[in-house]
Amino acid sequence: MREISPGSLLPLERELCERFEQCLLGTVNSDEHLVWRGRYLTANIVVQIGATSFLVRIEEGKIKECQKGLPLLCSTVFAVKGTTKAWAAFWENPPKPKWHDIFALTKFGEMSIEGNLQPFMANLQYMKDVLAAPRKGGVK
Amino acid sequence: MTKLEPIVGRYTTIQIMGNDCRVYFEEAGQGIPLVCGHTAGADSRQFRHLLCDEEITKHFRVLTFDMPWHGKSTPPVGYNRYEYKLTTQLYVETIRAFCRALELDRPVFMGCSIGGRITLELANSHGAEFRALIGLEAADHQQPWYDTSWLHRPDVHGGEVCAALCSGLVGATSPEEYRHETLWMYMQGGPGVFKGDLYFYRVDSDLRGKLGNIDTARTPLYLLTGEYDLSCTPEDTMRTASTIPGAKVTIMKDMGHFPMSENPKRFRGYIFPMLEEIRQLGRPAAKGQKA
Repeated sequence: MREISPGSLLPLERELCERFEQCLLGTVNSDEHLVWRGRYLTANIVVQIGATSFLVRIEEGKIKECQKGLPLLCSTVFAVKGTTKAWAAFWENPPKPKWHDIFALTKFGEMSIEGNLQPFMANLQYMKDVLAAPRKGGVK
Repeated sequence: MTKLEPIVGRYTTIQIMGNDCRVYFEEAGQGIPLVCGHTAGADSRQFRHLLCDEEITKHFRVLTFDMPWHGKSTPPVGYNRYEYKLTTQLYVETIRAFCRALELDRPVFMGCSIGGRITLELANSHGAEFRALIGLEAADHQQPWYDTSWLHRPDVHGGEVCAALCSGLVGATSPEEYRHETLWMYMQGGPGVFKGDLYFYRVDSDLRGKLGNIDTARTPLYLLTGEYDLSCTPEDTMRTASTIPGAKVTIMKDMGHFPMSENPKRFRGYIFPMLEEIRQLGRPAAKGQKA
C-alpha cells in the first residue's frame, strides 16, 4: 500500500481528508433511505481529494470501508477526483455558485470522473448524495 | 367545497409543420396574453405558481402548453417509427402555431432554458409578432457539461438520470419542497424526450453572431439568469446580451436554472416588475408624454 505521511499533506487537504474519512460511513449508513436508493450498487470506487486517494467499498448501498491510500493493483470501477479547492468549496454549506455540484466542478476543470461510468450514472443521485455527505446538514 | 385553483386545462389539436398535434394547455387570468414555454424534458406545470398569482392574472392572460411529446400532449401519429429530435424550425413553428390557434394578439412570450434560447430566435426572426420577449436562463450558445447519450439507454433509468443531472441546476438554497417538485417532472418525461429536446440546444441552435435582426425598441427583450445555473451561466447570458442593443439583463441571486418552479416566491420578486413594465407599454400615453 502507498504510504501517506500525514505531515506531507497541506493543512487544508489533511483537514478535508479527515472530515471525509470520519463522516462517510456514519452519515451514509445511518440514512436508511439513501442506502435503499443505492441498493443496486456494489462497487469499489476511488475518491481523490487533492493528492490523497481513498478506496471506498460500497456494498448494496452501504459503505463497508473507507480506506486512505490504494492497495497495490486493486481493481476499482470508477474514480471521482477533485482538487483540494473543489472539495473545500463543494462541502461548504451552502456551497457557492459554480462550486455546488460535481458537474459544475467538472465543467470548470476542478474535478474529473473517470473509469466505467455506467454504474455511476445509473446511481447518479445516490452518488451525488454520498459525495456530498461531508456537507453536514447541507443541501443535496 | 375544497378550494379550487384558478388554472383551467384544455386540449386542442393544432397543425405543426404538417402534423396534427393534440396539445394540452393551461390558462388563468385575463388581459395581455403571456405564453410560457417550459424547459427541455419537462412540461407546463413548471409555471403553476405564475398562473395562480392574482396580481399577475388580473392584468395578464397567462397560458402555458405542453410541447408535443411532453406532459399531457401526445406525440404526432407515427412517433414510434423515428427518433424525436427538436429542431429550431420545429420549435419556432410550434410556438407560433399555438399562438395562432388561440388567436393571441401580439402575446408576450417567456421561455426557460431551451425556451430561453428559442426566445432569442423568436426575437430575431419573428419579433414583430410579440409584444415583449422574456428569456429565462437564455444564451446564444453555451458549453456542454455532459454527454446526452446517458439520457436514453437501456442500462440507465432515463427518468432518474435526467432528474439527477438536473438536481445540480437547482439553486443550493431553493426550498426543498420546490426543488423536488421540479425534479419530479424530470422523472416523468417520456424515453428520449429530454435528449431529443437537447438536439435543439446542443446541435441545432448555435445563435452566436446570428441575432442582428433583433429590434428591442419594437419588442423589448428581457434576459434573466440564476447565479447557480451551471448550464447557462450568468456569463453566457451577459455575453449574449452584449451583442443585442437594448436587451435588459438581470442576474437572479440564489436562483438556479428553473426559477419559476424551484423558488417561485423569489422569482416573483424579479418577474413582477418586468411584467408591470410591459403592461405600461400597452397603455395610451398621457397628454404631453410620448407613447
